[in-house]
Amino acid sequence: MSYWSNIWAGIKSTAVGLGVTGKEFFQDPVTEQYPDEMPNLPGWFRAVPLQKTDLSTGAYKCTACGLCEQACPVDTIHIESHQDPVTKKKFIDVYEIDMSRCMLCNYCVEACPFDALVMGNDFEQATDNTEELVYDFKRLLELGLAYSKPEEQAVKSNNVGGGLPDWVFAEKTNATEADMPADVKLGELSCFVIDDQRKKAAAKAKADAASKAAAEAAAKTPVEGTAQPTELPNKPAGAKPATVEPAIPADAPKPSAQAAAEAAKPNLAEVAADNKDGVPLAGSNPEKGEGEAK
Amino acid sequence: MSPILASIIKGVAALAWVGINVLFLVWLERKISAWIQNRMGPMKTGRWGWMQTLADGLKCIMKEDIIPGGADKALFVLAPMISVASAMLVWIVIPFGPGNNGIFSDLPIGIIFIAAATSFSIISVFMSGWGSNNKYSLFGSMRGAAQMISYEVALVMSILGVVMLAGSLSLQDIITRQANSGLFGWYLFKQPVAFIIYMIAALAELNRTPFDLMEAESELVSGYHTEYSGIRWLLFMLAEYGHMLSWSAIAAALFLGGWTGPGLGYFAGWIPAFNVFNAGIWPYLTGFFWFAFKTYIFIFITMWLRWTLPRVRIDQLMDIGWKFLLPVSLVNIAATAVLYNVWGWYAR
Repeated sequence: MSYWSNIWAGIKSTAVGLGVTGKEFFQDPVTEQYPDEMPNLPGWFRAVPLQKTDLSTGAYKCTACGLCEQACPVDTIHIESHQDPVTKKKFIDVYEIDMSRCMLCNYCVEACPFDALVMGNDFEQATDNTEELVYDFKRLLELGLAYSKPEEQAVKSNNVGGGLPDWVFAEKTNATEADMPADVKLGELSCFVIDDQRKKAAAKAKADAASKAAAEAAAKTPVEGTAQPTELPNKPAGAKPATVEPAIPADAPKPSAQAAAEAAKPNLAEVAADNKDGVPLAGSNPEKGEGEAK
Repeated sequence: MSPILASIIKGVAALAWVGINVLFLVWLERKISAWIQNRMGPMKTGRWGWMQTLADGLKCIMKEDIIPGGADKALFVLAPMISVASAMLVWIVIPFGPGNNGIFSDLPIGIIFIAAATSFSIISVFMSGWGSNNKYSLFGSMRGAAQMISYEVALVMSILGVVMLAGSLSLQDIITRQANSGLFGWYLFKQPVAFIIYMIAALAELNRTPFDLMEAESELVSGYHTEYSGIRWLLFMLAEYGHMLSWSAIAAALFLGGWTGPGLGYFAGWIPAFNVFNAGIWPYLTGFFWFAFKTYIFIFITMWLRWTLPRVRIDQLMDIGWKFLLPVSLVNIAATAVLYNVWGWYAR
């Protein structure tokens, strides 16, 4: 009777097979039409390490601490920074990642205690020129903008007890430069400067209002400039300083005006020129800046 | 219109019908296989890749014409032509619509003609395999000859049951007989066993998976057309898909009532204005619609089966053909004869 049972087995297996393929027939394809539409990449996809920006202030989150440079097993990261002679805070001069050597191990992202680095999934980074594979700070920030979020404070590391911090998984926010504060340019401010800058801006606005009132008072009384504080620039609020203006807040330790003016070196001058709020920018040369401060 | 001119027009129409459908079928096969495998299939050539077959055909036509060194040139060149001719010849007796205008030629021996014309493809397969001077081609054509001869027996035996019920060998007669038998008049309901045998045997005749032993690409490179390329290979493909189309159309005619089906004129009893649809060109359009619809049902089933079942072994193939299909079809003929005489509805 194996003849009939064979026939029955054949019919049954054909029916089962047709059922399986018939079910698959109506399912959506898993194909991603890559060049036409971008693939749906998971958060753990690692394509290029990028620098994040704090969108609420426009400051880059990197503190130039150098932990990523040390963590990198293949020495792709190169950092040069200078220190503010007064506040002892660090600023990035050069931050380069050599993508021709990077092996996308994610160690730099895990090492960063300030959530400044992220492994982006922008994998279309191929080029026919190896020099273009050395990513400078500006480019890292531009690409990293799509992973940036507004945060008032830099997140401190939460991996004290071991394990991975949350931010090793990239979260794409698709932010653009339009989401940044209008008065800050990409890569202009360090996250350490922001608090100081806010305070200075407030102090400056206060001082401007005071000087305005004084000027009005002076216009009434013919004695000129007596009510005006000598340290503060006499400018209407919001005016763009033509040169580097040491807008020094009352509570900040005061270097001499001359030292501050000298400290502003040409390679940072253009950045400073756009800096409407007049943040004190120490010299690009850390030794010199320190020397003058002393 | 002189009969010669009419014949030429009909012949061109048949060639155009097969050619256009083959273009579509190759695309459809790739799409159905892709959808079953959760892919998308051709997407780049035109919207949804609809021009893919045209592009492939153009490529094949422009390729160099290669004839292998040791090949028997006459056989090698003739084989694809005979293959296409046998696929085209069948369309002479397949009805597209009602009456003598809906068929190229309503031969009274239609079924015999189909069996004879499609048998030529066996010859073309063996010619190509022998003429290629290639061991894989020869293996493929030997298998193909054995397979097609053994399944042709079961195929014709299964059709015999239908012919007995219809009392005619003409496909047009078989179709009208089904339409006149009322509800469940289709021979799908009266001849279910013959239908299943026809489906299996036709798959084997078409050399499609699970019976594609003669071009089994995992064993024989490409079987009988291993040495073919360019336009000759294209002709083999045209013949293969032309055969699939014709076998599906024959299945629709034999078991699903061919071109018969309700058209808009069917509603003339309720809406008098619809009487227009019972005259002129409308019955032909309705008939053509149902013919194409039913044909494509079978084509879809064929493709569905191809992407479901794996290939059978050669001994399994012979077992199925000789030990299952042939005896069952003989029993079916006997049972049909008995039922025809004792059951009034069955004979109607």
